[in-house]
Amino acid sequence: MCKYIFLCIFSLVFCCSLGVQSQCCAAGNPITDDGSASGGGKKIMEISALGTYSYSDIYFKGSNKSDYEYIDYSYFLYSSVNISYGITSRLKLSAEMGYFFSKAQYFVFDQNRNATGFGDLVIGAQYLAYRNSKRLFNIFPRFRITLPVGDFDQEDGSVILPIDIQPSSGSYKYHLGLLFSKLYMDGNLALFFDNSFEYSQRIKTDRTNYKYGNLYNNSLYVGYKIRKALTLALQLRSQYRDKASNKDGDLIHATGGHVMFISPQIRYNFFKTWNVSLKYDYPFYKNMNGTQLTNNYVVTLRLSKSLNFNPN
Amino acid sequence: MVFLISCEKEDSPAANVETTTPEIVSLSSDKSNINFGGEEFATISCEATGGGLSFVWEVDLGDIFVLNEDGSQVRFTGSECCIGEKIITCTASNDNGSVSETIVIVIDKP
Repeated sequence: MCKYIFLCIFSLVFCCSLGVQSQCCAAGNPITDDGSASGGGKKIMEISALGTYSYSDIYFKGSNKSDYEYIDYSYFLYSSVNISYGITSRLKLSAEMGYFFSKAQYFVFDQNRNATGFGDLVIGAQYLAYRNSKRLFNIFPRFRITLPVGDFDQEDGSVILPIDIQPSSGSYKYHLGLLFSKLYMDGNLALFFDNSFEYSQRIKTDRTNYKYGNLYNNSLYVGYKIRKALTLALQLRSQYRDKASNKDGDLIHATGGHVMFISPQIRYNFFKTWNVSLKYDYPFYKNMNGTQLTNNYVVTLRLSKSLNFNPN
Repeated sequence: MVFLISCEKEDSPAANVETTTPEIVSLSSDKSNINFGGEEFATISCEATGGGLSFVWEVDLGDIFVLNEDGSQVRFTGSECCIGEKIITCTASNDNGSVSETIVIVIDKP
């Protein structure tokens, strides 16, 4: 039964892309979740630090490359710390805070700009709502809220930078998700299917009145333990973003789109409680609304440590 | 024999400037409409009085680049995501306060 539910949901979210778009101006923290459900358990804390580098220099119009030239290239270097803790055996809370060491845009007309500063604070909860120990199948509803506490008024020279390059998104974001996990081969093969929806609240400041498009994220993660401490994983992720809207509530044409990533990952466990992983995100399919600068690749290195506060 | 040594404080040029409450005399652009993309841009100038002035520019969507040393003149352009009416604000400030003015530039589709 579970197999069929799994297949039905998978088919729906990957095949049905009508009416959903992504956007060019996605400021704020990058997605750091790898689509799996690591850690967990009562009184178990997991602390992780990650570094992310993202590079973009290709314009897309619809699903085709465009000759349009405006921003020559753009990149960011972001680092964050994530702490999660199992309040009970089923409930895990988490918090994440990051910093942009550089968020830069270089234009074809010999201009450039750069921002640095704190990103937003993300607080989350994950609950083990259903567990079938015999079939090794679990369902986790997840909730996250993004608090725009980061830098949103960064200047470069005499200019307050536009929102797409500010370290903070400036917007409260509410993220609802449902994660399915299934283990095979005595746990050596893990399957995670993550579905989430993110609603961005309208930014209303003296300078800005803007709403990012909502984000629909679906990912399938397959991890296989090739050795006791070494796991190879592959994630297939689909991201749709609705169009953004301006101060009058009108949809902004050249925002929104659909991007699909394939993300190979290698994870190594050492000293029992430490993990290091390297992930490469490659956007193999893009269908943008209007002409937009799109991402070439993202590389993420993560180091994590588990701490068990249960009495021995 | 007596030596007399003295030091005279040399004021910085900025300290010599007598400032008054800033006032923007004019905020003007050479174009009121531009096409999106970097090939066409508007040059906006903010002329202000008050002495010892610094300028800050802002817009919600679009790209502003400073053209001169004191920051009173900028270049404005935008990509396709910024099509429409854009309100650009110039703020002139000194020790006596600050004042802001806005100008509207429309980014069109060619």
